[in-house]
Amino acid sequence: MYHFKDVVMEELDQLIREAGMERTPDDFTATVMEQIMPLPQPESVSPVQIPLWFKIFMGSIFAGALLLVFYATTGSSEATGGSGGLIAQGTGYVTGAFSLLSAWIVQQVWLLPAFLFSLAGILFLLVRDPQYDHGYA
Amino acid sequence: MKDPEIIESVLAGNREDFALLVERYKDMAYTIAVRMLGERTEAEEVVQEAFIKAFSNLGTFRRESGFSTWLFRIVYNGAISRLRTRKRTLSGEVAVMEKLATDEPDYIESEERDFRKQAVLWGIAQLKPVDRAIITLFYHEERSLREIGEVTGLHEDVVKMRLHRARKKMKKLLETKFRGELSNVSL
Repeated sequence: MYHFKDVVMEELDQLIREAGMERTPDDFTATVMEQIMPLPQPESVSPVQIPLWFKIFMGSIFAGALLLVFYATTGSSEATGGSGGLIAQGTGYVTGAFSLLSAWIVQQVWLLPAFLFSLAGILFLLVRDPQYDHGYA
Repeated sequence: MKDPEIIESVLAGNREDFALLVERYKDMAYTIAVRMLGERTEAEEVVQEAFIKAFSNLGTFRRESGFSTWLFRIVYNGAISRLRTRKRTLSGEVAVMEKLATDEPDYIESEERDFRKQAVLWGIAQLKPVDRAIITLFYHEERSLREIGEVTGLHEDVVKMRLHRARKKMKKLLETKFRGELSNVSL
């Protein structure tokens, strides 16, 4: 007496293999080719090549925009004076780092990740900035 | 002629060479579709559509993976799409289950080998469509876990886990359903 419960995994594997493949009808290839022949000829599409100079240009714009934010924040810190400059300096370093990384990402990866990264940097500053302004106003 | 050579030839204007790719992969593509959909006519349509789509988009095929992996991914996505949209009037599982009903005399009296095959197909039909595709690709096409991941869009580790669970589930199902009915059968 043989029961399926006696089937060890290896035997089950063998059974699955033995179940074999399904066969398409005899005229399958002809049917597919009949539908393919009237279709337009497929053409090789090479991926869009972005010129390096354009990437660097866009990277500079991102970096420049973020540097403006950086100067704006440090400027307000200097105007108010006091020991808050330390925090402002920290913010500036972070902004500078964001700027450089943003430019690098644009050159390495492309626009969308750099945009998101820049946005994250700006959001970071918006969150940080009011905090230290409140302290020295 | 190897796949990349055929692709180059087709792209160069020898579209009749595409028949070589159809011949080479039609049965495996069909097996995936049949296992996933449980219905031959619909599976045939899915595979035909997949070949036509592959031909139309051959120029955009990046060749990072093999042609067959790319084709099977189109078949897989086509089958998943069908499963999402079709009404569950008589699904593949139900059809197979009805065919394999234990009180069906022809089934019990069928040849031993055919019986085992039908029983295993029944077991596969009880799995989720994604697992059926994984089982089919792993056992019949002997694809690596990474390649199966490329077809199904799942991570290699997820494929491994699903394969393991699917096998365990099949074993349990077969034990339960066919207990006592497979007398005098040896492996």
